Amino acid sequence: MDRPHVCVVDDDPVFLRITSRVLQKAGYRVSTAADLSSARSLLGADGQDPFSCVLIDYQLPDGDGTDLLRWLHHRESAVAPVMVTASEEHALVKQTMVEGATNFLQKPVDANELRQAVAAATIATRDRRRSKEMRRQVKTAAQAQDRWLGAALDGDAFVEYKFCPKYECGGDFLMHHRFPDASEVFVVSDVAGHDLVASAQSSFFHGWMTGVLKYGGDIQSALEDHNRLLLDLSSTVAGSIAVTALEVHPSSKCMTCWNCGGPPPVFDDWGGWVVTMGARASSPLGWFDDVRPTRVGTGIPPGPVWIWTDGLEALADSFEASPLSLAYALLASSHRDHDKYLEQTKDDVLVVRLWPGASRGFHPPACWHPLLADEYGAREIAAIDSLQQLWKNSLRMALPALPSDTVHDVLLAGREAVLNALNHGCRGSETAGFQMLYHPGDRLLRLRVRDPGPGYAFDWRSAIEQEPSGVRCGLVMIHSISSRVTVERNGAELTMDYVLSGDLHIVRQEQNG
Amino acid sequence: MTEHKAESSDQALAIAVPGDILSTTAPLLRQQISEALRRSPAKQMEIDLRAANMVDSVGLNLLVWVWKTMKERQGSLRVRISSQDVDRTLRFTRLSNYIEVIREAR
Repeated sequence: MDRPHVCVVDDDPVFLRITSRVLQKAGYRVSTAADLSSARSLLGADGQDPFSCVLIDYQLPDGDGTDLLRWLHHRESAVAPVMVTASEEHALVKQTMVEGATNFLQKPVDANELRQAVAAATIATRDRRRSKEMRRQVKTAAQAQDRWLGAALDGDAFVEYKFCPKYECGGDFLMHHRFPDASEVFVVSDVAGHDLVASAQSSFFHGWMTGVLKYGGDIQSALEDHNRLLLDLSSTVAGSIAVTALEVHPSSKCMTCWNCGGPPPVFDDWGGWVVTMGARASSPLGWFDDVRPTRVGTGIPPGPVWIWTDGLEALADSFEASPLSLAYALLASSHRDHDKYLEQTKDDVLVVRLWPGASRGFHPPACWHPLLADEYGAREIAAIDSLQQLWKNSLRMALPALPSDTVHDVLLAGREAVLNALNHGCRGSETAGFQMLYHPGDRLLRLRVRDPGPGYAFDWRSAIEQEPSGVRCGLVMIHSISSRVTVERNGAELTMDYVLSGDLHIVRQEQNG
Repeated sequence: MTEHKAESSDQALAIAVPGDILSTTAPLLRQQISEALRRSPAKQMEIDLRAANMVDSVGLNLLVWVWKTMKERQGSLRVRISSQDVDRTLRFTRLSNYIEVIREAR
C-alpha cells in the first residue's frame, strides 16, 4: 500500500526538517512548502499524489494559515488540515477549527502528539474520500435509475409521471410492457424502505417481471412466483413489495387491475365521477404464502388513469390534503410549489398519469383532473370543520393562485351540500360521496355530491324571491354561490360548477350576473 | 367553549360573536341569544359579526330566527360585518334585503 502523503507548510526550515524526519520515520511520505503561494502550488499541482494531511503553520510570510484552510476547503474539502502555532490564544484555536482544521498543535510540537495528530487526520481524510466517492456513486446510480425509468416507459406508451425518491435512489418504480396482441400492462411497485437496498430490489423485481411477461407468463403467475421468491429470501435480503398492475386490452375495450398492497388506481368514469378501482384490501408480496390481489375489471375510461405509491398519500397526509390534489400539483409542470412539497417527503414518491391504449406521440386532450374523492358517513357531520379544512388545504395545494373569495364560496357550497347529503340523504351506515375536480382547459372547478336518498324537489328561484323563512337556506346558498348547478335523481346528485375568470374569481353567469 | 359577549338595555341588545357562525358553533350562540332575549324586552338587536369569515346555512337560519323574533316585537335586527365573504353570503341569499347590514373595515 502507498505511504500516506503529508504536506508540511512552515517558513521555519528547522521545523520543516525535524517534522519531516519524524513523519518519514513513522511511514509517511512528506512534501514541504515555506509559504502560502508555494503551498498552493504544491497542493494544487496536477498529477500530484493526493495528500492525506496538511500541517499548516499559522504565521506564514505571505498570509496566515486560515487563508490556506479556506483555499483547501474550496479546492479539496476531503483533506484534513492540522494547524500549528506558537500562540495559545483560544480565539485563534476556535477560528481555525471553524475554518475546517481537524486538529490543533502548539509549538514546540511533541513528536508523539505530532504522530497521533497526523495519523488521525490521515484516517479522517480516507473516510471523507470514501464517503465522497460513495455519494458520487449514489448520485450516478440515481441518474441511472431515472434513465432506466425513462427507458422503461419510452416504448409505445404515453405516460406522465413524477418520481421523487426520499434519498438519491428509491424503491418505487414503474414499467410498461406491450404484449404481441397489442394489450399492455403498467406495473407500479413500491419496495418496503427507501434506501439503496430497496432500489436494488426494485430493479431486480422489474427486470424479473419484464422477463416473465416477455416470455409468456401472465400477471397472476408472475405475482405468485415473485411472492414465493420473496418468502424464500425474506430472512436475508428481501423486503416486501406493494404492486399495482394495470392490464389494458384495447381490442375488448376493457382493463383489469391487480393490486397487492398498493393504493388503487383512480379514473374519471363516463359520467364524470371519480372512480377508485377496488378497495385497498390486499397485502404486498412477501407477506403471506398465498397471493390474493384485489382484481377489478372495467371498461377503458375516456380519460387517463392515476396510480401512485403510498409515499404520495403519506406526504399529502402531512399537509392534511387529498393525495389527488398533491398528484395534480406534482404532475402539473407549471405548478410553483413542487419542491416545497417534495422537500417534506419521508418516503419515495411516485405518481403516474397514464392514458390506456395511447402510444408515444399521443397528444392528451384537455380533461378533468380529480382533486379530491371521499366518502363520508353520519359521524362526519360533527367533523365537518375538519373536512372543510382538508378541502381548503387540497384546493390551496392544487390551485395555489385561487383567490380567497373563490376558496370561501367553493368551501361553503361544499359544506352545505355534504351536510345536506349526510343529514337528509343517508340513513344508518350509508355514505355520501364528495368530489372536487378541475378542468384547466376550461378553467372550471366542479364539486359533486351524491347520496343514496330519494332527493328533494326544490325550486330555489321561487324560494329566494320569498321572505326568508330559514327553510332550505343551504340549498338557496348552493344555487346562489355556484356558476351553475345540475340536479340529478331529484337532487340526490348535485353538480356545482364554478366557472373561473382569468384571475380565478367565480363567474356567476346565470344567477347573479 | 366559544364565548359570546352580550350587552343589553331596555331598548337594545348587543351580541359580539368571536368567530364564524357555522353548524358547529351556531347552537351555542342560539342558546345564548335566546337567553338574552328572554331576559330583555329590547326591540333592537345588534349582532357583531366582524370576527366572522364564514356563515353557513345554520348560521343564516339563526339570523333569520332572530330577525323574525325582533319583527314580532316590532323591532329590528342589525349586523356588523367586516368580511366581504360574509357580505356576499348575505347578499346572495338576499338576507341583506331584510336585515340592516353595517359594513366596517376590520
